Amino acid sequence: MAKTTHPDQHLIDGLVSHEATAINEIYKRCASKVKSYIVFNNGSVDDAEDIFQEVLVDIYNQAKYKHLQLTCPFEPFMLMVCKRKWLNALKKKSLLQVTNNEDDLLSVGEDTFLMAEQLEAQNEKARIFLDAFKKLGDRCQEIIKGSLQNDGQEILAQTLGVTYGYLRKKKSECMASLYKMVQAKLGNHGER
Amino acid sequence: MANDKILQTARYVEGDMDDKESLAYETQLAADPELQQYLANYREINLSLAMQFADNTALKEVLAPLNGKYFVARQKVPIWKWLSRVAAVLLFGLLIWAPWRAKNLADKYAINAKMEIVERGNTNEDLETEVANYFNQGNFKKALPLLEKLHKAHPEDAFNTYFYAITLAKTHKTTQAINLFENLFAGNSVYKEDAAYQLAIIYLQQKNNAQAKKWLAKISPENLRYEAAQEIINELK
Repeated sequence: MAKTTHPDQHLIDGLVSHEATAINEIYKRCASKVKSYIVFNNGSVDDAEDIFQEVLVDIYNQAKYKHLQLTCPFEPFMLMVCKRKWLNALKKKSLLQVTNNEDDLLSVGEDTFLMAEQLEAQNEKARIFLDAFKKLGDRCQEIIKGSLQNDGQEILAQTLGVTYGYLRKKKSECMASLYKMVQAKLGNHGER
Repeated sequence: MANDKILQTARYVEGDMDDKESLAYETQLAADPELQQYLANYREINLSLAMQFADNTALKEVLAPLNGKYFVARQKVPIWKWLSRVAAVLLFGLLIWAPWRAKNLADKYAINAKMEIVERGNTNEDLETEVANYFNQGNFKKALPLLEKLHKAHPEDAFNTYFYAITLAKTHKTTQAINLFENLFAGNSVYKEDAAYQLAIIYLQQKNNAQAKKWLAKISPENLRYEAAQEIINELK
């Protein structure tokens, strides 16, 4: 059964359309809490600012490109995602013991936790895709990145000094190589 | 075979097939769940990379002034003010906390929590600033009624609830503090496991080691209090 979209969805819609009122409301509701949590847990105000902005950009991208629909209140969702991102950052700095303890996931079932989990999973996949991309040759990277960033592939072909047909063929080969690397990393068909 | 399907999928999506090949691919696609999965995964990779390569400059420009407004480090306090505050805290500590007493585990591992004073632009802003000032000065008697008011107005606000519970504990209203910390632990806020730690500290103060250990055991290894929790558990053995 499809879940109902939460009324706070207007905050995400506002974020996507750069609406000052909605973005202000997000900061008013969440900024002080995220700051308190991070400063309270071995971080600085600058760390809090970075984490807050990174999470907003993540949410923005998920909403803009993947039509993220909020099924829980925005505030706990934002706080949960910031908390997880900060804990991951601490783990990378080796300030926290890295663990696969499943106890932390026992409370999953709440919409907030589920949405935070989904966003984290998307980010983890994105990291794997980007790692694979970086292992491609320079020419492949140039073609894939250029075609994803530019409006017209014909213009890209001209810029790269190749024919449009060659560009499509080369991009297919490059993307197939990328897919195979992702598949090798994730197993099966590249699913997780 | 799998490699063929991946390349065919890439060629299909990138428009590198002629009409005849495209039609053949679509016919196979309709009857081949594996190929459908390849196509879905291919589109996911493509979209994810497009997201990562997207230019978010415009969004960051919108966020920049708000970051400046909401993430400002507290102003540095002049040294004389700082020294007078330290003296006041020491005097307060001498009178109330009697630091000459033997340090117990609760004292050793207590969290020195601070309320961050940040402009939130809501109707309670002045009240919250006043509370934070009292709390951070250690004036829990003055902070208590204000936090109670904030908590009653917004019982769902985990931030205020957490600091209200600490203040209750500091003013020896232990039963109420325990109830609030237990409620926080039952919820899913970012203060969930910190509440468990605070409960453990309260039970340590009461010399109820069994309850203290019970709450310390609930703190997961990814929590910052985990190492302290484990040290206390070891000291209690």
